Amino acid sequence: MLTKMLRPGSLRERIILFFTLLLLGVSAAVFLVVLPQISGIFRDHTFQELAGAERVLRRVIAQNQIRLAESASLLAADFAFRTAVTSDDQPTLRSALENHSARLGADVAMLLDLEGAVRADTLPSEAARQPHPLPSLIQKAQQEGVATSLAIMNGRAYQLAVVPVLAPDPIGWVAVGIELNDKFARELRTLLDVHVSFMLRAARHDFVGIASTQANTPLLDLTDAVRRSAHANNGIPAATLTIKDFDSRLSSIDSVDSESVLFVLQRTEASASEIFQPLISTLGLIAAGGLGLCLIGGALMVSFVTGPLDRLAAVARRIREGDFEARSETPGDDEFGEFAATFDHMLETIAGREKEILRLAYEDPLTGLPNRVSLQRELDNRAGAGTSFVLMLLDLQRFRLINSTLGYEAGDELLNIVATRFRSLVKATDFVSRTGSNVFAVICAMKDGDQVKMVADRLQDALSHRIFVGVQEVDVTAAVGAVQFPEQGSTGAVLLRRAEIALYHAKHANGGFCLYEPALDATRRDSLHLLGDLRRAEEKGELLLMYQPKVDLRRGKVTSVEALIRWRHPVRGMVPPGEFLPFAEQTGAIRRITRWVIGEAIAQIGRWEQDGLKLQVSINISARDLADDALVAYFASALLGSTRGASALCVEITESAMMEDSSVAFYSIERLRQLGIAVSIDDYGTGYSSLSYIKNLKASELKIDRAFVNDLDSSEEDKAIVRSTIELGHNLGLRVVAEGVETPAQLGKLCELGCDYAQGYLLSRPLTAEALINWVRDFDFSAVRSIKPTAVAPDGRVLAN
Amino acid sequence: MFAEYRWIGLGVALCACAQAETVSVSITDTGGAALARAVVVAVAAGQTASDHKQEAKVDQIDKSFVPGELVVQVGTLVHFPNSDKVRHQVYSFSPAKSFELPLYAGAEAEPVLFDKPGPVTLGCNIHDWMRGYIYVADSPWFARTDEQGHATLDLPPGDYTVHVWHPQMRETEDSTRQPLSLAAQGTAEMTWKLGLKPVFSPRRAPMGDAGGGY
Repeated sequence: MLTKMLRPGSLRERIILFFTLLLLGVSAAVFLVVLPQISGIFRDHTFQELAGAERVLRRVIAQNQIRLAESASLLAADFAFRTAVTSDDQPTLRSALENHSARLGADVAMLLDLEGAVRADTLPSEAARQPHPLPSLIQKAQQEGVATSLAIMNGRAYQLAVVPVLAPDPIGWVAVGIELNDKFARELRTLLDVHVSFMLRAARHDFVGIASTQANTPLLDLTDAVRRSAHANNGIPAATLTIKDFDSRLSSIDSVDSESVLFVLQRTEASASEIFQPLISTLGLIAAGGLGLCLIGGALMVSFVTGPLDRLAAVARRIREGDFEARSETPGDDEFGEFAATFDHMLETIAGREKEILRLAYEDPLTGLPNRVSLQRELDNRAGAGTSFVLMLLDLQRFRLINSTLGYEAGDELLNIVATRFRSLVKATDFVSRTGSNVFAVICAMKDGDQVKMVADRLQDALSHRIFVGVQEVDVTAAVGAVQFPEQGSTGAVLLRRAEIALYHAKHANGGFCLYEPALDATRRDSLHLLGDLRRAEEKGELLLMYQPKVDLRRGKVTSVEALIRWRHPVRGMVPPGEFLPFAEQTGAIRRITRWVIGEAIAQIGRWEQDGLKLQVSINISARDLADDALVAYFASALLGSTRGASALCVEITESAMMEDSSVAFYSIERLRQLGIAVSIDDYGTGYSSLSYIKNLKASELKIDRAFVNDLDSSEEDKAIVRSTIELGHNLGLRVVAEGVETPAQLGKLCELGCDYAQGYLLSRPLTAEALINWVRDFDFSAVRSIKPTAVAPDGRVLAN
Repeated sequence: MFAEYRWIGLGVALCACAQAETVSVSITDTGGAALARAVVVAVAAGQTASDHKQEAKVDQIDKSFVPGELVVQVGTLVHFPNSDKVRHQVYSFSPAKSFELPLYAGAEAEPVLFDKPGPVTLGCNIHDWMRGYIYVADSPWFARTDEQGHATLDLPPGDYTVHVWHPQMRETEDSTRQPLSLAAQGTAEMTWKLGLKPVFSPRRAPMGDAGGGY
């Protein structure tokens, strides 16, 4: 809790910090604003106190004077005193005065005759000669019986009382006085609790202190301040002055001779702040207490606020870890309850979406079958379980054609139909998934004695039943690659890879089925290895072109050749094109190879021409090449250096290449034709090309596939096909070439059927450019035609002659 | 204040036996107001003081001297009986006669001989307001002014020095002396103007305090 509370930057900390700062701010405001105001009030209060002290002081002096008058009256009436007074003996008089003034607590006593002349006094002898201020007092005393006043004598201030000495008629005057001295000031200070100072005016702007309770320094400060104030104020000092640390009140009392005595009452500011000290302490205590309460209250409040937040955060953390079942379950009608409810609702929405995402992640949205990811999981699960099964990958052949001719909707419908059929064919415990656009994967449990081929046949048969997409019947077949667990792989990844290898072979084998065997894997690996080498082959000059002549059957001459690529591998020797071209097409390496072929062919045409040989060279162009926008431009640039021009070139394009993406292919072919390059349709009869294609292509050559030539002399159907093809070509203005001619009988038939050109081992194998020169020179068509049919090797090579 | 005046006409009695001329005296204050109770004394030229062995009395009644003012000739023995129930302490600090009669009641106090001329102010130490005057004249001829400030001296013809005295008088007695030559059958009129001092009158204590209630 504590560490949580102190977590830097947490809401908890910020709330507590906020309130703490708020409280400190308020406290500071109280200290900064209220205290000076209170201080001002105290200051006013101080001055009021000083005013009160002044009133008391005046009262004290007045009462002193009354007391003094009474004392003096008693003295004057004292019989012994009167006796002494009448004795007229100076020392006696003086001692009597001293005695009686001491008895009264007076500082001075004087005896005067009725005329006001001093008969005796207690003043120092020289002072006695000074003029006395008493006549006016006596005058007053004569009228009122007693006179009291402040009087200034010899630079000292006295409270004086003058009374007659009665015997019982006045026989003289006696005056007693109390001096305004330090002692008196101290008595006043005891009474008033303020500093008391008395001052006399020494000059118009000058005052001199005569008594004070202040120490020397403050008294000097005071005198200076009074002088300055008097100087600045026409001789009258201000009533209130703040001098150093003292608040001061100035006033005066008139003396008998109109000269006044200035008195100053002072209270230290320090004494005000002493009064303050407890207040400040209390305020500090309240602030500290408030701070404590603020921390506790803040922590409590924070827990009210952050408790639900923490719960929500905990829920959020669980969600982050994937637990969508977590719910905050915070009840209440307050904002937190509302928030938690919204939060929970949001969670449900997210959980639903998550489920949907998961479904999409593991399911093919089109067919509802599990997808490739599911397949891999399933494989791992089943491989982990250990019971034997077979994995089959089924590739729908010609699916792209259906997609492109009937539309994607039809393709999707077909996929759904196929998925349903596969699913219904296998057991419920078996597994059917769609792993690619036209690839399905089926896992079937295998029992001893089950044949993989049988399962595959059953699945393939499922497609042999008529399939209607909309009203259109479509013909679909599937190539099947199969792999068995645990015999041919122990993990899902291995099984899948091997099944793909098997599928590859199945697609390229006419049977359409292939069960994995280790040899396949080796071939495959080999191919991959070759592919790596192939990248460098062109640079290292390992590629070469060989040329197979096309013989003009009418004239018995050679005017054109087909360029065939060969790879002279430094280790493997001569690698046939079937082993590397398919991979080159798959990986895109074919583009560079094709460019090399074009360049090399054009160069060779030039070289032959120098040797006096004029030949048209045919180059094989793949579907991928046709999809390459830059190909035509490459042709054009390559032909720039050629003396014979485009007419010496011919491109051979298979039907299937045109089928792949017909519009792009057509466009490319059209542009090549415009360059002046002849176009030949290769392998005619194996694909699905319609006559309209051929017409639109404006090709100049048609090559009958070797499959039809093979059985030409034995199969009437093939013979009919060849014948009709030749006729068709001629009717469209095309020259017709038969390839794969291996026997004289075939050659004879072709001549008979009016075929224009023939190509095959019977005439010549593919030759190097040099060898071709000799071959052309030595070629004797009549000799070829006379060769008898002899044994021919399976690959078509003539074993004899 | 001085409500009671008991005049003792000794001088008149003395003069009845001889031929006398009348001297009219009129005394005012400086403001012209008649001054009553002033003492007028005529001293014959060549006259010497003589002991008359007379006696007089100043009683104390109701905390007052009775009479409040008395003129006696030098050599008069004055009795100070106390008629009050409280005791009195009678004193005088006057140069003409300074004396003190310790607290006494009744007629305990000895009589006091006034043997020098001049005014004597009487006081009581217990009661400050009590005041009495005895003027000791060095001549048998004296008189007091009435309310109109008039006095009459019946003197045998001859040369005199006349002076006046009054308790409030500012002037000294000497400064008031006037020569007077009185022929037979002659009359004379004399006037004085005197400056007056204010009367000093200590407040009388309330009656209860004095025990005057019984």
